[in-house]
Amino acid sequence: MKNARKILQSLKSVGVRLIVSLPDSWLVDLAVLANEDSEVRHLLVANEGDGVAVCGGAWLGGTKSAMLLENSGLLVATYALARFHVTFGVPTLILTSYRGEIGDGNWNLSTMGRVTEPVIKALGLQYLIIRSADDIEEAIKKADRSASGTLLPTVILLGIGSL
Amino acid sequence: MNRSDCLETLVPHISDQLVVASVSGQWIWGQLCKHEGNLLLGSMGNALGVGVGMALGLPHRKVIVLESDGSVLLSLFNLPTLGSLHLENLAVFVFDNEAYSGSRISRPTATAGKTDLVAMAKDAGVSYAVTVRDLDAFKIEGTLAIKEKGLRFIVAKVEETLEHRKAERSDMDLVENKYRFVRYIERTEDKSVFLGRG
Repeated sequence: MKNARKILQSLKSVGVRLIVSLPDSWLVDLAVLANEDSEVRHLLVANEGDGVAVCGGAWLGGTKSAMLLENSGLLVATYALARFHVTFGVPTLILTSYRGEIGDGNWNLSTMGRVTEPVIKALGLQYLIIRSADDIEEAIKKADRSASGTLLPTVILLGIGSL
Repeated sequence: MNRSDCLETLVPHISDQLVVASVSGQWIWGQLCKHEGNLLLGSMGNALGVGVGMALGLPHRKVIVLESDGSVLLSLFNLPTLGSLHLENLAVFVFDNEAYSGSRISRPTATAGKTDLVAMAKDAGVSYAVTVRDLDAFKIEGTLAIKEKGLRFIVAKVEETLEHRKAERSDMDLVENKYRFVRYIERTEDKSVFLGRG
């Protein structure tokens, strides 16, 4: 919960006022905190493609947002990211749990661990990997700065030890 | 009733609304209405989500989404979000020609058969969802959807035509359209969206 609080505070400090989420078990504390926070609007969605489109629409209207999802959901969102965000140049800050990475040991998610970074690279997006909550504030600042500057989504992979 | 006739009836009502068009009808809409608040997406399956995000962020602005049966069928996952949020400032028009006309094959989509988008929207929580089958009914529902508060989901059953392929293409590409749209938001909302690059 302490790390989740740090992430939420960092998101608010860069101006995020809308958090859209489809949380997995790693992100659930963050989603709960976002839900209780009066300074951000928290929206739960049923599909990550919907979520990133909502974030993009919010940005076009002048509201900064962040999308929280599991990396499985990042794959679900690829259509919207490619056809909308990347094609048009619409930034969105994406925070994803890095499930299935080496050390996770969850067989069911190991494919996600292997394909996540290649998929992000295939979309041409910049990303960074966080393995300690001590790094999250700086990572969010960097990802936000790059998203705003490049007009493209940026991805923070929340690895083991960060949540 | 065809889509072009329907869209024409909406044009006189457009002032400061924000209009998000999926690939369905965007060429026709872009020619009929030169509004700076048009966001033409050029893709299927994204307009409803984008419109929801915009309506969430700008609750004092009316957001109008122009959709098609194919695009909504591609992104049915938007419907629970639409129904749960029930945004007061959102109007959705789905032009349903019941055909795969975009791919130039005249084969029926699911909405030509048993699939009912209005029933699906209602069951997802959208309280006002109606099907219209003639232009007079469309004019009434279209006017109310734009003028009145409250989420409205209008499915217009239209003929399958190739009119969109005959429509003159704009010389503005869609990324340019995005910049124009965002500059319009910045000017009318007195806020910065682009932080500048260079």
